Amino acid sequence: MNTNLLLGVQNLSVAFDTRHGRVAVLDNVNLNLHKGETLAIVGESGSGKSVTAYAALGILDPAGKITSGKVEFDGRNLLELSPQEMRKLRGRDLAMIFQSPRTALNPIRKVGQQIEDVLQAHNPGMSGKERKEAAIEQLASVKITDPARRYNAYPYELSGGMCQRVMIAIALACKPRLLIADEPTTGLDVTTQVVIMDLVHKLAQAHGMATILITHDLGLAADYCSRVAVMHAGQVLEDAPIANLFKGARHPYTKRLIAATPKPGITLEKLASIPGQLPDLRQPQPPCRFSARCDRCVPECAAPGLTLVPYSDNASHLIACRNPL
Amino acid sequence: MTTLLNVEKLTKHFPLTASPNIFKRLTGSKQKPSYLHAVDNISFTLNKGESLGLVGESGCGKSTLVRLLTRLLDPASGHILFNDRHIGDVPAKEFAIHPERAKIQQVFQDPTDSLNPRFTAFDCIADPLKRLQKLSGEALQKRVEAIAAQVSLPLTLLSRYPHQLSGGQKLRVGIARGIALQPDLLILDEPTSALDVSVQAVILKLLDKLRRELGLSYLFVSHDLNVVRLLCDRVMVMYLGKVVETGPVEEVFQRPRHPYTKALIAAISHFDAGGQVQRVRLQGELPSPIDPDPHACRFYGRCPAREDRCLREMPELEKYGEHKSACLLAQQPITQTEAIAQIPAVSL
Repeated sequence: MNTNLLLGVQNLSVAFDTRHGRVAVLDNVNLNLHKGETLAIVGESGSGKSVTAYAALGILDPAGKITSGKVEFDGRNLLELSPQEMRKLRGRDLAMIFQSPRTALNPIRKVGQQIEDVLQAHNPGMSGKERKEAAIEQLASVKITDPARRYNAYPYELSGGMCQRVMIAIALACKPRLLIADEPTTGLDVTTQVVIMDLVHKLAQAHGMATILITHDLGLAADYCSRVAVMHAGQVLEDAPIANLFKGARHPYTKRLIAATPKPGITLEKLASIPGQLPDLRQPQPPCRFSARCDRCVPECAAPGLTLVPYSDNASHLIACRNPL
Repeated sequence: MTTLLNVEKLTKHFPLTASPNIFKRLTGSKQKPSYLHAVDNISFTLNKGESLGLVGESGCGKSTLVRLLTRLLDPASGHILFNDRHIGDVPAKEFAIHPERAKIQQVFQDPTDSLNPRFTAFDCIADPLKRLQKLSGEALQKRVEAIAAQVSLPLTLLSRYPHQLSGGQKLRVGIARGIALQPDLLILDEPTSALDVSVQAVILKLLDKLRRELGLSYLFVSHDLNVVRLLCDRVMVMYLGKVVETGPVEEVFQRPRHPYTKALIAAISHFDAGGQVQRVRLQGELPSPIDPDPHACRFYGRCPAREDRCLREMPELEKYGEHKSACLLAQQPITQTEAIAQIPAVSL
């Protein structure tokens, strides 16, 4: 086994039981994350990016059932751990920055106390005074000015960017080995976005953390990640180093996603859209869930057993497509 | 080209209630009331058929400006000339029945929240026609169907409620409602921010087509500079209630003069794989808009190029050809930060 592997998601499938029947949200997701690596998961809303993270951390909504697969973290299958064991790992080794910091923070507790909560849960030996000092230090490390005063602030007193800094401080309080950032900059101003991303990136590098960045913004992925996994309707369609992906996307969906993103130097005429919508996952799906929207669909696409395979000889460029570009 | 909208020295200050300190209030200590300077002395023009982008951070006064232009708020001072008529002096309450009401329409930011959940798509589009053009019966039916066709909304969807429509379809309903009264000015408030990139392109192309076919003028409020660049002829950058830079969109993007614009442009991804380019970063947050120093540049605290004189003199918009910038240092020749902030035209 590859000793550098930190997180290995293998054939993870998740289904939600709803009023309308079972919805197969994730279909055999495979992801590998090495130590110190930064991986971006990109895709449209509803493609299963967040569910993948939630399933890996064991915080899926009770309606969600993991129907198959393994999540190996440092050689242990997280899905087989008891809730108590998972609780010990979460916050200490596995941390997450949630979307919309304002709703993720507790509105009626001081932000400093919320950092202390993590420290208290994972370092029972720490005294109250030490914890407070550590919390203030943590606020300072995310570049919050006047951390001793901000310790006593409530989330409503802070701007969106500041709240996101507090979220980062909470996530990094125990120096985790894996950080999952779920749309950390959605809803923030562009100027704040880059500052927050710089901060996450710098701290991750300083602690040697592996990071998963969940985003729908390809530009953000290009700027901060070394590898990108493209998801669509609960399937990973392409997984490649960032340079390969932007210069030579092999999956038709990735190609279209890149062409649909407004960027400097493109004209409105050249901007493409992706026809169709995400499929209705309540209905039985063909092996490739993109095939209904795909213009390169061939009869082989209907054959079962679609998996991520290396494209030509490049072992780091994986693609799940029967008729690649 | 004829001018559609001419805004002169438009200002809106919100008075704040007296000191929240109850002791001070009870003892009756005389305090000058504070004002929140939401929109401060803004002048600009918008030509017929033109598309003007309005960008800036949240809290910089974009929404207040939009609410002033749609006459939902009364300005403190200044003029709004629309079709050569002063509409700034009409009280907001009376403007609802003013003939110019129909000529200024808005497409709101959140396509879900801005549609009445109890109205079908048909009702949403028909509502302004019923109220302001007094259409009914078959004439109304025909008109709504014609508008739906203009925004490529399938007629079968007209009987659906918003929750039965996708995000892109809801936005089409919002746009249809906006153009129903054949306005001259359509204000688009972050129309595509809630959409996935896969549908964004279709909507942007639709907006571009409508503008050319109907001769509309757009005021396009957006966070996404790449989208502004695609859709707008000119761009106006706001910072803390002031316009700090304005000009033709390519000119501003290629040669930004104000350090704030430079930082905004630097925040755009270059789509260079793994390219951790050294870029201008703004430190700190938007300062408080309450009683700002009238004799200092409002960007001083965050400016990477600040000088002492910026604290003594409030810069006004200076002309550089078509391009205007409110920075004392903008006259200087190209600097290194400027060179870094330039975005190469990368096409993939």
